[in-house]
Amino acid sequence: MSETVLTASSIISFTQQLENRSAAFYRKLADRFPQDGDVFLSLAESCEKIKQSVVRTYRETISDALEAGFSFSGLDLAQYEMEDTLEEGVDYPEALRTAIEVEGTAADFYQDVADRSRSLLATISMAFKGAAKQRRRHQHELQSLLESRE
Amino acid sequence: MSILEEPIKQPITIKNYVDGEWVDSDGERRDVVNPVTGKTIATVPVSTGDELNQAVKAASEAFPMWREVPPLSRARCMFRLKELLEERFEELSRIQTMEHGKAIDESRGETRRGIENVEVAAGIPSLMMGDYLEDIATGIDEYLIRQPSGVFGIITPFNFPFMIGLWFAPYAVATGNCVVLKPSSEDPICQTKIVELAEEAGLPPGVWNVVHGGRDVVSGILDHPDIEGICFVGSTPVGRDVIARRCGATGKRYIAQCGAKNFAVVMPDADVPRTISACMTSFYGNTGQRCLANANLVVCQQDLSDQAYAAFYQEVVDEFVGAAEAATIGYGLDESVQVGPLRDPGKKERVVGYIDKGLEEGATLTLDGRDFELRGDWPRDAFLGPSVFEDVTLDMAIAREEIFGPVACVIKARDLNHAVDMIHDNPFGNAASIFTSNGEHARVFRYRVRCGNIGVNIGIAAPMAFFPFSGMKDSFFGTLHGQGREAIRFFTESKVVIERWF
Repeated sequence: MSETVLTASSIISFTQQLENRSAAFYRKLADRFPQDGDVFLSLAESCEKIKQSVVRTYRETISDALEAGFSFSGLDLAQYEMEDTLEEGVDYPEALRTAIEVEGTAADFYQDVADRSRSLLATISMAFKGAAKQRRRHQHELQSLLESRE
Repeated sequence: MSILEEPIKQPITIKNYVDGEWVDSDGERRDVVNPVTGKTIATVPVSTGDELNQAVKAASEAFPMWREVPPLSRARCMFRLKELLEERFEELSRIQTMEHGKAIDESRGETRRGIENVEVAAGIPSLMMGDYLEDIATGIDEYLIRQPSGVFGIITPFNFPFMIGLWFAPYAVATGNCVVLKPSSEDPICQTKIVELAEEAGLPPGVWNVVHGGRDVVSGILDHPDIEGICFVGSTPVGRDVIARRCGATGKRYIAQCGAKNFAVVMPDADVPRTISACMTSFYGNTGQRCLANANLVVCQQDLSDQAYAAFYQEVVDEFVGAAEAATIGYGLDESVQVGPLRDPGKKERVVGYIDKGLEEGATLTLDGRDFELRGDWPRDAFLGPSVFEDVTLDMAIAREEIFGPVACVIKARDLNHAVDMIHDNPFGNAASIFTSNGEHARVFRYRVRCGNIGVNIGIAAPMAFFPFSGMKDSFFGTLHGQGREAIRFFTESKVVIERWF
């Protein structure tokens, strides 16, 4: 996921991988920390919904007349690689901090691609903006959870 | 970057679809070759005249019943077809890339634009409504009814194997007509898949037929007495000298959307980075094999001093060449690829011939697309990189003729009027774009330019499904265009009734 890419299709594939991985990460957290399992499963579900929303928007608005192949020049996906490894025996606050970082990385990614996709249809940019907002909401929720547990 | 999975694993044996049956042909079979891998992915029949006649007979026999089906029921078939196309969206898009070569984003864009026509045609109960006026004289009312005409022939080209059939067929069928569609035998798989889904959507036998073949099938469609009209997209010589003439002789109505040589005019007040981004898709998207592709980049001096113009011209050319040079070339199923191959090596040779001709005519080849880096270990047979010519004059073949490949000609213009004169000097009139931040320039351009599709800060002036796909001069022959309300009018007869009751 670290290659330089330029096409809209690449960005959509990256989004799918990002959300699949995030959802898997939250399901793992739910297993390890069942005291807040419902919260993590709900975040996993939210990641699935973000993925569906972005992919659906892309498919519904992509057009051969748009600059889909040339809209994301200069984007470096390497900076949006998620650090989602949970060490064996990691304690709960540390796991939450990792989750907060995951959300921050995802939100930054969506904000970046939202800005770059302005030359495509507004709906695509808006879908990315919506995803960024959603991931920021996740981040705040996790932050509150962390504060309540510390 | 990995290659997306190919949906076609084994070569498909394509058959004709006639009267609701998949029928083999007695004609020879041709290979459908993936232009990237060089592998055969399907074989397609070259159908005989008799086989075409059977399809027309089936369509003619289905017509009286189909026209009686209420418009709302026909609309529901369109809704179901749309849903089925959505379900198979990704597969259909990847098939386009396999049979044509275009990049996956372009294929998905083509799928979307095709589906949009099905969506618009689903509005047929409203679109087909007539008009009514009471009391045109005392006690007399007059009204207009739109009635379907019968059987239509649709002949589609290779460059948009999915979309172009859908510019016509959904409107024809939704208005109560029946069709016989002949796809390009170079990439006929998508149209075959579409009719599979049309069958699943509940269209009765005989309403939507597909007959594969070559010139004999086209001739048969043109001359068949039971075909009311023809929709054709292809080259200007065929559209003008064959379709228009033969339809004129046989009294058929016709839509012939043909060739192009489109100009993009860049004014000094243009947003250059966004202009260049739009131009990349326009000049090199679909590897230049598109009738809406811009081919001549006109850089206007307008009010600039000679010195300022030299700097502006150089900025535009440098950015254009830089972006073109950076385009990734390879298999369209590789998501990092922006430019795929030409449809086949023969088409590449034709484009290379134009590059040679440009050099012979004295133009400067600033970017030579014959020398390019190919992403992936594929045969180079059908690939060609983007080329850019400078020092081009309007009398050169590369500036006048449709190259249908990734070649751009940069031309200097004194001012906007000079640029418009250049556009008018060209025999084609399909599309033209202006890049400017000046509303007056945009209006003058839109008002004066004799082209069917105008882009203002738009590289590809492709009309949405609810607007007609227009065209002028040698780019269009006929009266009404494909898509939207004009397609509804094309596929229906206007019957006027004047009524009085004693």
